[in-house]
Amino acid sequence: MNTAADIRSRLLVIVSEQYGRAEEELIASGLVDSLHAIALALKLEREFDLPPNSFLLTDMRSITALTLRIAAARGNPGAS
Amino acid sequence: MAGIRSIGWWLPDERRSVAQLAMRMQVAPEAFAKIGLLSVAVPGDGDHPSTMGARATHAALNAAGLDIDDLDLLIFAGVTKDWPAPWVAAFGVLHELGATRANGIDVSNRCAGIVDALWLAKVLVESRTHRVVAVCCADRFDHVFSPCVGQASFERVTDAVYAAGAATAIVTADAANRIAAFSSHTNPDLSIHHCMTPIAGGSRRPLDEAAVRDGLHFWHAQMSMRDVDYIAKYSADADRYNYPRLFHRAGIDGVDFVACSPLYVEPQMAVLEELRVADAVQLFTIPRLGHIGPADLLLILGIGVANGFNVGRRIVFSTRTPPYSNALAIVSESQHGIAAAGEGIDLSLWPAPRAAHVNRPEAPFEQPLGGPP
Repeated sequence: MNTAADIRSRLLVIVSEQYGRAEEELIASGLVDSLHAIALALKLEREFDLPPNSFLLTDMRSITALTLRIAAARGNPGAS
Repeated sequence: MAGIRSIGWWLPDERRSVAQLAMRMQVAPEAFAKIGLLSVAVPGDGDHPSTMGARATHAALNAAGLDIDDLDLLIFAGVTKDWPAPWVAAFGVLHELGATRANGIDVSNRCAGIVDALWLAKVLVESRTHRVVAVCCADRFDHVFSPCVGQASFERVTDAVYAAGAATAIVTADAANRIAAFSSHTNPDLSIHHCMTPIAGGSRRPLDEAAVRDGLHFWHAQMSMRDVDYIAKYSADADRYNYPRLFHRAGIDGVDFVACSPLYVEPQMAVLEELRVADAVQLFTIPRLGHIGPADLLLILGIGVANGFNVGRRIVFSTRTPPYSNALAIVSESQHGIAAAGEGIDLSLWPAPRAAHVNRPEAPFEQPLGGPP
């Protein structure tokens, strides 16, 4: 599951499971705030088998930003 | 002994509602729900830390029955300033006030500066270095965040909470209360010292055309999610460290009124409950006014006093910042004797609670993520 499309699909499922719905804009939509963003980051590190501290605060703003970060961390930095 | 004789404030009249903020930043109003934000104070073109600070200091001196010529020292503890270093904001405030003899110094420690400055004022008064000391906090934050409207990002939502206004406390030896104890706790991991600061504008990255083009002179979070998690845990640990020490040093076994100003109330309330001080009377100003930096704590106590809250004999200020947190105990034998007055706040928005201890404004939205803000 290294393509951006795969990662994005999986992300949408995880976010939906976590918050009841998924939107491209996670923060601006009000779906996620900084209190809950850390829980999401930890879950994504587990789900995508990423090393600790893989996400920046600004990565949490959208599905696209998360997709790019995860793709890069999994050795596919060009995925977009 | 030295204590707080009066608190004065000045806030701009204009408020920006959550709906207006959401439209301006192209985010959903629900993005502000967890903070419980209703509106923020918006500065006018002529409102700056020095001008707002002078108005708040004037109000505090008036409330104390003092004149500008009575003032020996003004400690400026705000976060933002009219001009960059080496400009000293205290002298800007004093100039606006028409002061001719008072000394001035700036204390810079983010939002924790108010507690450090009050403790410094107490020490200076008790050592008879100065008789009347004003601790002035004044800020406007609009120029430190990227003005790019419509570029929604993680930082944009919390950036919007930062507002404008000023509050000043007058510290004297004849106050009816005494600033009794202080405790502070530095983050053991200071690698986060640079978070929420500009990237350019200092010696490590001078401000040049490229830096301005890339917006590096604005505040940037510069944090990983582990940093965010670590800072949250540190902040809770700091309260666990500071409160017991404060009680021990002040010789008190509880607190009647707590002034703290978290962006998100729930995590701090959880720690206060753990420390068994959550029953103390509280009120929060961020939902109605936005975050006005270190002035928040003076506004909270000032509004509480002016509105007849039962603030009791044991008042605690506590702050949390990423690198450093502190707390201060203000104790009185009977009445606290603090006079409070100012302009720009509708006090009726914080009615004194009759039964409930905690005075929080009603949440503006259905809470999609759980409990009340």
